[in-house]
Amino acid sequence: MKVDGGLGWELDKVGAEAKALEDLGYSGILTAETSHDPFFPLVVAALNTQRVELMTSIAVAFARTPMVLANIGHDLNAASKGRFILGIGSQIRPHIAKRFSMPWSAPAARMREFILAMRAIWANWHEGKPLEFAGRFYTHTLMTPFFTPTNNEYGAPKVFLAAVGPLMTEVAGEVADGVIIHAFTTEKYLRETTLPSLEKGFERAGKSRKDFEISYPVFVVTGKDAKAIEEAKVATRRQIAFYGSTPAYKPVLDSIGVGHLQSDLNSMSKQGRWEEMGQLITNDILEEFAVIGAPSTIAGQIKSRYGDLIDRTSAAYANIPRDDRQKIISELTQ
Amino acid sequence: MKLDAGLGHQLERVPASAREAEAMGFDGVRTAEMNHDPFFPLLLAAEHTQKVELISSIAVGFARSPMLLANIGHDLNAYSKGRVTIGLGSQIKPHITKRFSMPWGAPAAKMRELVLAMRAIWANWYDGTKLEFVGKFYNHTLMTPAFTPENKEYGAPKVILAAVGPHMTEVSGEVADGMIIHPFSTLPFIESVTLPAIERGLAKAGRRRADFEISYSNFVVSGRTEEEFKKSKQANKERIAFYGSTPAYRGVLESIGVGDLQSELNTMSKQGRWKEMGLLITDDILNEFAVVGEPKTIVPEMQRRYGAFVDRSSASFDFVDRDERKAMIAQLRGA
Repeated sequence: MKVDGGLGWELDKVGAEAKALEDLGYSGILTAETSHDPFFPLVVAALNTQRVELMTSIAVAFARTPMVLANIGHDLNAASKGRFILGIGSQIRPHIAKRFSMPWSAPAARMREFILAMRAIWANWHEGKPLEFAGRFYTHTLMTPFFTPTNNEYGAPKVFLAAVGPLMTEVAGEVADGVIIHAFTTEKYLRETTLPSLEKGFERAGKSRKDFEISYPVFVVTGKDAKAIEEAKVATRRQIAFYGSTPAYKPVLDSIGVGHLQSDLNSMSKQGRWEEMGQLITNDILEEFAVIGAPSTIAGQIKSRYGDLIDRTSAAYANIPRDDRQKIISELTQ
Repeated sequence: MKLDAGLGHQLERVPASAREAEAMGFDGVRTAEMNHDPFFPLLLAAEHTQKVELISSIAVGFARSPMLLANIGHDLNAYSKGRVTIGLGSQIKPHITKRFSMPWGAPAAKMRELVLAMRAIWANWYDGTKLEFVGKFYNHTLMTPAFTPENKEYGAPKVILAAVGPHMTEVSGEVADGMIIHPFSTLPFIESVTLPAIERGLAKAGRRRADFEISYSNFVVSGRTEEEFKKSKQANKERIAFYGSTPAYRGVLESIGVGDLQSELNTMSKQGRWKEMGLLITDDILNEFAVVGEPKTIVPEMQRRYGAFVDRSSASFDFVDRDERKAMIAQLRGA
């Protein structure tokens, strides 16, 4: 199993941070897109590392055009000598329309077309195919030599797609190279909803599971002693309650028979009752979402529960000593 | 006059070329947007220099949402400790709609709104002004603390616009911190169209010329030997012919009484007769666009012709060796 570590946004520090993550044994380095550009830290990381994969997890696709992302993907893959993974997600309508001032509609169908458009652009640049992409959402029919990158040695990056619902998951299976599963997922949901949707996508594209990577962060509750583990439990309960208040994630709660919680959590969130919300997440529910225990047990638990299911996970575990973290990474990546 | 160097796009070579530009005494380094992301090289240049300004010249404005540009500008400016200028251009309709798959509409009005939208986003981030930008082309009404950058020390970058026509030029005077005059310009055009439009824009916003930076990079024809000189002349004539074939630039040719040339060049460009097109550019026409002469005459002539209104230029002076180039850079900067 590959293990990824998160990279910060402070550009004067990310070079050293990336190198430290590589030295710790991580397989990949992840950035997210919140209040900063998600690609800049990876440009610096590309020139300061040799081995690790560099991945956005995720960049907001619909905030950009396929052409701009195709160009960014090309440049980062060339600079990292083929180590870049373009991880993208849809975000939600208010953020696309009101924050980014970009169009929103039919997210799964639009995302499918977005990825196909990038692939058409890359096929034009890297293989000289004519660019004649005329879709329902995107049109890319103009390209001249002047705007074509010439450093084609490493070609296109891999594209991973973040998905929760079955439609977006099926799109990932069909047109992406990997799927990024939301941390708010249960093993049952993964096996009963995610995998079958991916399989449908694979079938449509005539590809197999081994051509594809499943990335799943896994909630981990651990700590250097019993007290720290208890504290981590409280924090994770609250995080799960927060995600559980989102209507779109109700099917995940349904997968373990507690779908009724969603409306409670939703009303409580509107009243700002975050602490109480955490108390609704019982030990049984917590165990459905999280791997819990002393640092020495974590890798074994992740492997036995998810080893046959996922290809990569992410492990930050900021609340345990560096040595313990390194042991977990090394045990997982073996 | 400030002077900028071009920065390449091969990312592994950017650190060295940025350091070299700083060592040569340039005031800034510039990227263009052709077949690569225009911001990545500026990021690496920020990492590997201390003083030089970092300028996109230009990035395609309408290919991106104002929010993305605001975020990119913020990150680069913070990292470089306030050295960034986001230079934006409109590109033309076919490239926006058919290459970038983005909407096109009334370019000058839209560009004005794009810059104002970026400024509204920055005012929200830095001054806490509510984000309520509802425009004709862009809406930005949602911002939460999670998406607000926390490193505010250096604030917003400068924004400059590339402009040719009077409308876009006026917009730059009104809402931008400077403008980039297209190299395909003549003195008569600049004096009769560009400068008055800038003044109109400045007046609209109640700003002074001193708050505004005009960037213009004239063509340069030179060489150390007769052969180099001839080559340079031919290459520049072909470039001028290429620009001259664009309908939107007809006004520039009209400014020197050769407007008819535009249709002829346009027809020839559609037949791919690029070499022949260069032959239509006479020495007299060339002189209107380019400073032509031996290396030692170039800087004094640039200062004589353009010194009164140009605040910054870009030139590589790659027709002389490193020492001589360094001297020319210092001479032009008045250092």
